Amino acid sequence: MNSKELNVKSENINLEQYLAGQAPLHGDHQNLPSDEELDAAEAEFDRMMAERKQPARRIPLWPWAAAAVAVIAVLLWPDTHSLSSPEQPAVASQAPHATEHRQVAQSTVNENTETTSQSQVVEARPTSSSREERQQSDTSQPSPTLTCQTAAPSQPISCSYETSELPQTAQADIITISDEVPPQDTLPPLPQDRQALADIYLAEIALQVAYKQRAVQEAVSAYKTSIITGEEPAQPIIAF
Amino acid sequence: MKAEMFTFVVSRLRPRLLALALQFNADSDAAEDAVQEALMRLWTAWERLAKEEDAERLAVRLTKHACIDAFRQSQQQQTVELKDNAAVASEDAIHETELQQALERAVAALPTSERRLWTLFAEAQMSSAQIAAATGIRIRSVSSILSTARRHIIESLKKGGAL
Repeated sequence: MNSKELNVKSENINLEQYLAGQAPLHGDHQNLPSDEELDAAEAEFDRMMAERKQPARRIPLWPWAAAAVAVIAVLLWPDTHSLSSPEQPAVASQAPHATEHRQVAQSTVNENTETTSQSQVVEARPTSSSREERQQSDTSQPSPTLTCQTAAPSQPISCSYETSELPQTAQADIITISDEVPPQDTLPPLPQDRQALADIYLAEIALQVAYKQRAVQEAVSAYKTSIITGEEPAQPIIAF
Repeated sequence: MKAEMFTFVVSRLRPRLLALALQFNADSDAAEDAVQEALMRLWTAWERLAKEEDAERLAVRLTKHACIDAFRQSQQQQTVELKDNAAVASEDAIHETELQQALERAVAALPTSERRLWTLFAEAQMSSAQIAAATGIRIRSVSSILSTARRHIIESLKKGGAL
């Protein structure tokens, strides 16, 4: 038996003992640490745990509070350079209602009545023209209505502010608009109020609608005349 | 104290030791390893302990020591150096070293649960009941896991050419 076989045999024996749980591979587990090592480890353990239990560094809150106050101050600071007034939020909330203006156009062609007796009425609301009127008007009162009316196709369109229950001191503003464009110097300056600008815009739309209605009515009357007289109309009615 | 008391005392101590290790190390595997290391050493010193309070106190100290030891080892793993095998001269010593390294690799390649139980069995030479008390696993499962671990070690040694 040579030395290699012996070595293999001895290794196999050790391996069998190890696999049977009778010979540990390492002897480290059987060596108990000394009391000094245990004391040092326990002190180190307690120290590390105490460090971990220390509260984290607190972030000062005053910069956040100061920043929040600054943001609130900027948001609530009155903007004196803009066109808006402190009433702007209320006006903005009313803007959708302003777009719900009713456009009532009566363009019924009645063969028994003359064309001159017909009228078109265009209404738009709200139409308060100035801030003072808005401040004086109560929310319980009905909003005024802009009414544009034309007596005849060839006559100018007249628009007026009307309310269902006008106070005695209030008078309806009647605006007469002629076909001729007024000179530029007579135009009033643009108001610095968005509500007034909205009113002007709605009135402009109402006038455009009234002009279109009148043009349609004129075309209808011309077509009617051409049918009666047997003459061809000057311009064909494409819109119909 | 008697060896029979180890199972009773350790089954009662284990949750406390595990909570202590988890308090130090949030990793549950590392905490289990620390508790296992502490219980292995406690078993080594069991015959020298007179009272249950002594065993409890020593178990706590050993658990803290195991936690600190594992922490230091994790810190030193970043600067691992190759072992110098030049001191090994004789052929017999070479064979023993190769076999020991092969066994270490085979044990390290075991799944975690098998490796823990096998270490308690092979290194601390605990019985199945003691291992069950130390790990919280039932005795039947301990025996089954130990058999599986033994088979895996032999297969690994054969595959590596050590057998």
